[in-house]
Amino acid sequence: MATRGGGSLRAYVFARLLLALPMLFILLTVTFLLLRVAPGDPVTATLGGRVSDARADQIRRDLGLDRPLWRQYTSYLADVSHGDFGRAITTNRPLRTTIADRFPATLELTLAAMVVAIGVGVLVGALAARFRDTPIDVGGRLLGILLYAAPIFWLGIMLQLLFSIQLGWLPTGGRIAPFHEPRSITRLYLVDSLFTANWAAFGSALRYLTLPAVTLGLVIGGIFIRLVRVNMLQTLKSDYVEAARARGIGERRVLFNHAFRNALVPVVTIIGLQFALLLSGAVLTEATFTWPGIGLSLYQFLQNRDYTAVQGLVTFYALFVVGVSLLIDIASAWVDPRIRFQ
Amino acid sequence: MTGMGMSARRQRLSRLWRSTHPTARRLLVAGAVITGLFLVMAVLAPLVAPYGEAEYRDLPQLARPSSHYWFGTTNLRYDVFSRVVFGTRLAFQVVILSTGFAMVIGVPLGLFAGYSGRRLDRVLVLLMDAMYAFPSLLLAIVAAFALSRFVGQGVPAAALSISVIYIPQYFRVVRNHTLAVREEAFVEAARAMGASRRTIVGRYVFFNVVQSVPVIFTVNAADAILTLAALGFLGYGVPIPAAEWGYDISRAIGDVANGFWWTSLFPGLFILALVTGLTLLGEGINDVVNPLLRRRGLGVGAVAPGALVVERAGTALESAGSEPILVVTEEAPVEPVAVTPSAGTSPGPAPDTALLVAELRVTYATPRGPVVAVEGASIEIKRGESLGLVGESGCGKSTLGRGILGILPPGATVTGRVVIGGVDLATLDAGERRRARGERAAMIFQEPMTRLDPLQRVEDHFVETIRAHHPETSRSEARAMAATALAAMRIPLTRARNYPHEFSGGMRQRIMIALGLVLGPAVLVADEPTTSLDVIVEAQILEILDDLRRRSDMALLLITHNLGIVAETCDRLAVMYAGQIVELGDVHTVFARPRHPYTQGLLASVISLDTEQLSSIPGSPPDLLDPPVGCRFADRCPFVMDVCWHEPPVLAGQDDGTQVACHLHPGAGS
Repeated sequence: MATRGGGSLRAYVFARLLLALPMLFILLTVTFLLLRVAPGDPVTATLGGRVSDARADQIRRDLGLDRPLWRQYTSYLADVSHGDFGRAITTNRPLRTTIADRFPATLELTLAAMVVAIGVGVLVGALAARFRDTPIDVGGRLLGILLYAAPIFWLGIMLQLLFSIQLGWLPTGGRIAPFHEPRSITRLYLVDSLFTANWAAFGSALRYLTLPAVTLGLVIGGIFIRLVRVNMLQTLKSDYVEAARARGIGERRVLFNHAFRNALVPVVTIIGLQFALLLSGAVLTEATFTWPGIGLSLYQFLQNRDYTAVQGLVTFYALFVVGVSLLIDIASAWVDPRIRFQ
Repeated sequence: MTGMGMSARRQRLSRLWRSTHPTARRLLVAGAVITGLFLVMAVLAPLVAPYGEAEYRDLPQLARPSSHYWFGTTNLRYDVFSRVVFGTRLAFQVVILSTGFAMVIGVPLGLFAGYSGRRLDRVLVLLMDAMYAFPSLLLAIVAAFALSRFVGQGVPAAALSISVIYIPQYFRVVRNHTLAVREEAFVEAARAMGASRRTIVGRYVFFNVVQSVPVIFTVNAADAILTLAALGFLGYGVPIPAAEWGYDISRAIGDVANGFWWTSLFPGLFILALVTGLTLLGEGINDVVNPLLRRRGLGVGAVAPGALVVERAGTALESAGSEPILVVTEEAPVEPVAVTPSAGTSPGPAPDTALLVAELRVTYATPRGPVVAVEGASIEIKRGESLGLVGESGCGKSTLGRGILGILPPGATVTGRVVIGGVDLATLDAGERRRARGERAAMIFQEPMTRLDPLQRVEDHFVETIRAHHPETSRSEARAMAATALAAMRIPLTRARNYPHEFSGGMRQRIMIALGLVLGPAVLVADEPTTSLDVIVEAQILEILDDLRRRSDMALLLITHNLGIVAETCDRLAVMYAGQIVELGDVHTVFARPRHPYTQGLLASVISLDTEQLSSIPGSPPDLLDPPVGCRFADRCPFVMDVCWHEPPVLAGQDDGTQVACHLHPGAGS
């Protein structure tokens, strides 16, 4: 996609924004169509015979569901552009509040999982590449495949079984022990308890975070193992590695300073691309560990068949995904000037 | 498909199979076996399972695994083993249906978009891209959630929800192939001959897409099973009484809290095993079929001189277009090359000899057998002397250069003797041999653009090199040495802290030379140092090299295919053909009187000002996997005699000091 006007970062950002808008529009339209165009109305589908007809009519009017479909569509787009994701039928709370309450927990979980994933992926992937076609390599590759092949929720349950039920080391669910919440600053418990030097809260938050983060991180890490391995195999046979060997540089230095460092460059970009996978995984992880994030909300609304709530949360996910991919692209264009010219 | 086409395809596949690494083959077989077992279990589920999928005739509640109930029983008195066996059947049903749906929707859309082009194509591409960017599980959840309202839940609904994830993939593959073929000339040609354009495009796209279907299918199948389980876990999969693994696991969460591990363990293990099997199968097929992802052999050198040899061998032996195949079986190198002295080494070098190579032999292990890339090469270069090593690409000249440095890739076996500056490399231990690289002999390469680490500043390359050999040197001392070395190559000091990509090709080659010389080696091996540079820069670099050896008494081994460069820069000349040195002598003598027919051919193929004709040597070099018994040049030689086919000629000295390996000249037949 050529950006006219050359390699200025501003031009790139502008062009990239223009691309993001239609994608966002399409995602919102698809979400609306899938969830609204089905026959029958959402209130009956959600609440069934649990409320009186008069009450159902009232809710319908409150949510604007009695209006023609195209009016609902335009007001949906207008609301979303103001950051309004509608109201849940079952709780009658605005979804904006739910998202604001629960987003920090999801963020904390995904960031911690990313740390685990990168640690596992880089370590195992680099070792596998270094010892190519030895048992270490075969073991590393198999581990990568097995981690990918394990259903996240099952892995989580197995870890609960071992570390919570059998050994009793870690809690099975929740985010922190009752009444231990640190004073809110960033609303990431680990960070806040560090800032306020609240060590009891820090310990508790860490204990609750460990299993969910490890579960999600291991599954994502399986993919990173492959990525790091393949990249490292590439750099190990690069020209500059051969040239370094020809200068008599020690093998360890060749591996770490040349092969490994260069192998990490494309991995950083690809890690950003795994973000969608991380979000999907977070829904399952949060449901398994009753981790109070947006994924758990989605799970609960799904159980209650709350149409407007599911629609609101999915809309938020769509915005989030488009926004993050935009940020990743702009960040990599900022780091690597060559991208701006593409 | 004609019968011949089929057998050619089978041959191609079997060759691909043999050329794949044994580990990859084993993993592929393991994946196929696992997948096959599950498939049999799915088909024979009613025979394998002792109970029905949702049958409870007085089974105990939550019984431990035992000889009666292999995997125990559930809270609802189901037999876990029977449930997971029937779950296999359900999983395969959903996999087949969902990929089927995805193809039925994605393929026509892709054909349509690619064929019609313009605005519709753009809208569809945007739509598919948007779907592809969205988290796949969320997409399936939304679809299942919407479908549950008016279709209900069940196998078709679940399969349709999952298929939404894969539609963009099939759309993309088909659309891109359609676009590629739409404007092809042969489509026009076939249409002129009366065929309908649509039929031709359809047929072409079909055969191209069909090739990638096995890989896409297995990868999607693995993913579909995980997605189905996730949907089931969230309550939007295939509901009870059907046996679905993810749903069963979600029901077992309560059991786990009470220590009943079997109800959740076994369904998960089945998912794990089947998805692993499918992934191994998919990756294995990809490894075998997709040549781009397969290793091209050499673990170390990207320039891979051996690969060139084998590539030629491969094309000579088999049909054109076969991939270069070279699989190295040894472990990754710490010290890639073992130099072992061979029997009957020549006497020690004269005191003014900078480099002595005696009977050097380099063998690459390939899946189709060992290839001897260099066969008993012996050269000697005095201090301040330069030797040009010439030959066609693939003749083994680069392998010889790397053999001297000891930087051949793993899988290469080296025998013979290398003496640099009076020290026999075979007498050194691994650490000393490493230090010999850079201190005794340095190497510069053909492609200066990729030889410097893109993430390191130029100066850091020097500091690293100097400190790798002299750890006692401080960083500031090393930087000062770098400055001197760069200044000698006319690189401004202000640029020492720049990154490699900020320099031109000629500057980088000068940096490489400075880097090679910073430790004061006795020998410089230059492997086609100017091939990738333009003529003016080439002259510059050659002048630098010439100047260096005159002033610093360094020996230069210049590897090139350009005889003009040799005439300008070198004192002596060695001609290599098919891994052997066939003529060796003083540049002027050899140019004035080339003895070997190959040398004659090479000289004749150079355009010079006073000849108008350009001749080339007909034929191609022999297959080094199975070299000819006699002279390797025999089948291209215009003067071939009977003896040439049976007896390999040996290098023999002539009256003017030139050595030549040819039966036309005295001494070759001893």
